[in-house]
Amino acid sequence: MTMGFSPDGSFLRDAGKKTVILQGFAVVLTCILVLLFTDLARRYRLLEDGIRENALWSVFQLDREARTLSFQLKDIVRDVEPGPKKIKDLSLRYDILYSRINMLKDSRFDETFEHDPAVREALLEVRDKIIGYASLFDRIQSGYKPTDADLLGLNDQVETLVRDTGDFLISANNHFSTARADNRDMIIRLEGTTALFLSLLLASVVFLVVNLRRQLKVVREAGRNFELMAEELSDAYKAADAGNRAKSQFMATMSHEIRTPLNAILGTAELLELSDLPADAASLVRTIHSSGEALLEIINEILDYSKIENGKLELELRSVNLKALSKSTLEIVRGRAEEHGNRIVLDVPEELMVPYVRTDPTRLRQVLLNLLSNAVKFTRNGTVTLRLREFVRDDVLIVRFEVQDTGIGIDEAGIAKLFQPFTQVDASISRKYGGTGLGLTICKQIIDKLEGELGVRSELGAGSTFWLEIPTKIAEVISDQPPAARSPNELANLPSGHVLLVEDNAVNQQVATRFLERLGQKITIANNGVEAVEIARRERFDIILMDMQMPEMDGIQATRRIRAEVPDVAPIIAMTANASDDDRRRCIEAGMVGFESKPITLKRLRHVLETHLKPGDLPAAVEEIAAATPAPVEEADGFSEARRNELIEALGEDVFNELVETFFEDAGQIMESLQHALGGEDAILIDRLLHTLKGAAINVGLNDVADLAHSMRDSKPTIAGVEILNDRINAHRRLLVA
Amino acid sequence: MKLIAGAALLCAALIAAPASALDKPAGEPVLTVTGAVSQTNDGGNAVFDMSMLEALPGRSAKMETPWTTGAAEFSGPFLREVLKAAGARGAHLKVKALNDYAADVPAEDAELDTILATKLDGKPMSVRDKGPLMLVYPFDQDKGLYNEKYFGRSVWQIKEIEVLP
Repeated sequence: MTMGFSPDGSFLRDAGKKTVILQGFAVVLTCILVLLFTDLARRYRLLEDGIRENALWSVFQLDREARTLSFQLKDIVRDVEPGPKKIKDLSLRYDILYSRINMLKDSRFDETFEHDPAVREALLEVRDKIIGYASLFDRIQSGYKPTDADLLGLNDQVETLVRDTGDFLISANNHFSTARADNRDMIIRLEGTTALFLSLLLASVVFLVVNLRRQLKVVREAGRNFELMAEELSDAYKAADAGNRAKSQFMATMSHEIRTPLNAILGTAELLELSDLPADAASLVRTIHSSGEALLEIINEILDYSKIENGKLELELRSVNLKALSKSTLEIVRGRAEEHGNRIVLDVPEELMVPYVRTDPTRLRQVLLNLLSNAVKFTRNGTVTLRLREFVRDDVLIVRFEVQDTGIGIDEAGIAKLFQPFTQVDASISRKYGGTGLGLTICKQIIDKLEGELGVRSELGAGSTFWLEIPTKIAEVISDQPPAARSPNELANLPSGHVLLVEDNAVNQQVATRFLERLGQKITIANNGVEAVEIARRERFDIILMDMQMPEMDGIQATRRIRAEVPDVAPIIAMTANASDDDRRRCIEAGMVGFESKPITLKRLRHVLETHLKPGDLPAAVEEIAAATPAPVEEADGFSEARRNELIEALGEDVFNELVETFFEDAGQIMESLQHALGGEDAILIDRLLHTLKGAAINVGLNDVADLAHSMRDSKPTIAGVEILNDRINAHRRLLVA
Repeated sequence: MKLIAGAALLCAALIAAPASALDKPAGEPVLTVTGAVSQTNDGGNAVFDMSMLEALPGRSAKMETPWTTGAAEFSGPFLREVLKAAGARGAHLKVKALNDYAADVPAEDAELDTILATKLDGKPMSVRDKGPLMLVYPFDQDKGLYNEKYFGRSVWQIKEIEVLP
């Protein structure tokens, strides 16, 4: 889908500009309006000016007092003999008139006339005249009796004064009327201007609102488009992710599929090696074996990688002795190093600051092993050094490992490609040295998960140094001891011990018993958890092999009880057809020291015994055993020929046939119980039955039955599902017991 | 409301005052308080000469007025003291001038520090100079008084105050 963003975008920008302009316009208009209103208000005040009103009033008063004086004067002049009271009143009138002129002269009223020369002149004239009478009235007040001539003269003067004050009043009134009219005109003009600006402001506000609304609309649309786009992106991401997952799933499935026949090849080769073969044939078998192992390693890497890519890498932090871990890891590559004429050096400080740290030993060993394998692989007649250092950075204990070789080295371009999946430094490498190119990617992912750093320093022809630094914590419990270094090819010198086998299923019991006998062990069988606890309490064992799911008491619970009740107990190793990380964790939590997936092979069993049986009864070490969990072996007809061969080799054909018969008897009973349980909807019982069936089937090599039983455990089993299972068992029975 | 309160206060003050008759003015009478007055010395009126007025409590204050250039110092007895001396009892005052100008002044205005100014800048006020008496509101104390309403009530050349109920 194409999004109409560019027109929207440009519109938004334009609208934004318009908004800014309109806002500016509105601000300017508002400022102008404020100024106009201020002016208008000032003019209104002026129009209403009380002082000016008062001034006019004062002029009027002046005129009035002048007329009163004139009136009284005329009254006196008409009188033949005016009394002293009349003269005194006249004098008072004059004083009042004088006070009026003083008022106009002294007070701020004066200011009002300043700007009109005509008014001002009239005022001055009137004032001069009034002050002119002062000398006569002063004399009158000090007792002088005015003569008729005085009074007549005064009368004439006052008459002109009255005319003048009348004129003054008129001109003052005209002055104020004009001023008022001017002011009013100005106000009307201002009001007009204000109205104009107000309408402009209104218009710009309207524009602004319209513009904002349009903008809002566009923004809303853009938001919707963004939502759509996000949805599409999310869908695309999901699709891509699904594709990637499908790819990983495909890789995992393919690897499984390849591992099945490969396991058969390896098992057969192993068995062949055990038999007496002519020297040349034995050498050929060894080749088959070692090639097969190499192939298995590659497939395991791919599986690991797909696991990591699916985010399923889980860490299991435990107390780890780094020195021991370094030693044992180095021992594993010693053989191969020697084949290449390499010297192996372990450079570890005499005393570590912190001998035990918390980390995931399995994953750490995997990384170290990978780096060491690479070093050994790319070095001929040189030295491979494993170096361990520890230091504190920002209050965190950092462990640094270095794997240094004197091999072919890597150039800068090569280093850049080094940690990418499926990449090797160049194509010739894989031709010459083999490998998937996944190893370092996996290492990097693991170290990332451990919150550490992985790096390399190298020079073409001068060897490489791969280093890793991981932050760790000091472990509280010191329970990890290094397993004694052992060559996996070493067949002899397996110490003999007393093994307690806890297993409820007859077939599994038989298989394990035969294997253990073959490995020269003394065996005691416990049929369930309760029995196991009882026997463990009574007798002393060197090792306990514990099935996980059993009636009465399961393996986890039995382990807890045994560890709680028996002092100095033998190491307990889980044996189960369940192989999830979660199961593994539960086992370790319960106090088990190892974990074996079913089917148990002779080789794995021997490895378990080698690890945990020690001459001189040394306390057993915590050791991760199931480094490579064998996948359920599958073949086209659902029956593992390799397993059959292995069993026949270990137990003999007769015993194998017996075993198969026992299985079918068991299976018959289990299926019956299952059908019963299905009716009663007893989910726990159903699960246990299916688990037992799975364990037994896997042990005799009926992998399809095991898988089917396992898959039925995940979902609620149906009658139809049980039928199919039954059919499958019967099909095998017809084929095998005929 | 304010008016009634003012009147009530005034009444209270008057009731509390001793009922001694006002002395006859010795000098020339300058102010006659007529109407509802109880302390009389001339028929039904209370007449004051300048010395009687100046004997009453009052104040002297510098302030700006529309009738003077710059700040001028007015001094004289408080209006309320004059009314008290006359035993006035009413809600309205009609203040009359020599030229028959008159202004209605609510009795509550006497509650302010309003004075009947007898002197301007320390000198007696002649008729020519707004004398002999002028009603001066405390413009220095309250700027809110500086408007036409109080300018109109600021009567000068006062000769008579009529006390109305």
